[in-house]
Amino acid sequence: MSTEIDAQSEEQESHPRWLLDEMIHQPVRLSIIAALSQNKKVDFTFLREYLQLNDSNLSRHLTALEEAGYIEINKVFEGKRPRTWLALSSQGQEAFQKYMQALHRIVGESGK
Amino acid sequence: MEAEKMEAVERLEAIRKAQSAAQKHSPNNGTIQLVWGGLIIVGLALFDIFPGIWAGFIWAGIAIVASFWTARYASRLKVQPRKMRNPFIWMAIYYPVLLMGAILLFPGKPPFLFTIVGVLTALPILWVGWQLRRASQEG
Repeated sequence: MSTEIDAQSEEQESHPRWLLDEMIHQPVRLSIIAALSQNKKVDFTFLREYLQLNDSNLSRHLTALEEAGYIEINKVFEGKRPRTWLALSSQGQEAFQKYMQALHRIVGESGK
Repeated sequence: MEAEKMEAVERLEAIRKAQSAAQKHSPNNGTIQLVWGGLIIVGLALFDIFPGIWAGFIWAGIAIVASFWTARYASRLKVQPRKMRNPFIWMAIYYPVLLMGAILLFPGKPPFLFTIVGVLTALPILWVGWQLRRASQEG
């Protein structure tokens, strides 16, 4: 009986759902990571408009991602204009790839 | 199980939409290719309208202004891509081949020769631009 339960719990734990990174799984953070995934850098204002969030809400999510080491935030002046650029770190890129693989496994595709 | 699968499908769709929206605000949105495709047709047509030297000057002027515009437009966009999907590199290969081929095949320069060369040169660029534009509008 105990071996059966052990086998069942082992099977459950090997399910791809356990590979879904909670930091990325949150819908707003997922959209942020996805937008950054194919690009060198993305402007803060683009994400604010796309996600329809206010500055403080977006900043909260960005800080969480930065603390997890998934993104890099770079504040610069371009001419007289301040600009905040966001980029995916190599750690973030790796986490996103694993997350995508897990999603494809859940859906039942073999894709990356 | 089915709910989990549905949620995964929704997440994949959210990812696709976010990537598409980012592409729309990047230099890979197709605008640069569409503008250059149009300018190549206009530029080459100038050689059928004006005498060679004047057409050359006007075309050089257009190309210089368009180059500055391209650099400024690309740098001001809110998303900077890792890779530029730019077909100009292969345009540089087939454009002289088309032009020389046309001059060799039609030494008497039939009417609208340069316009036809311009259209043939611009078509692949316009096609790439249109594809990129369509992909970036799907978000």
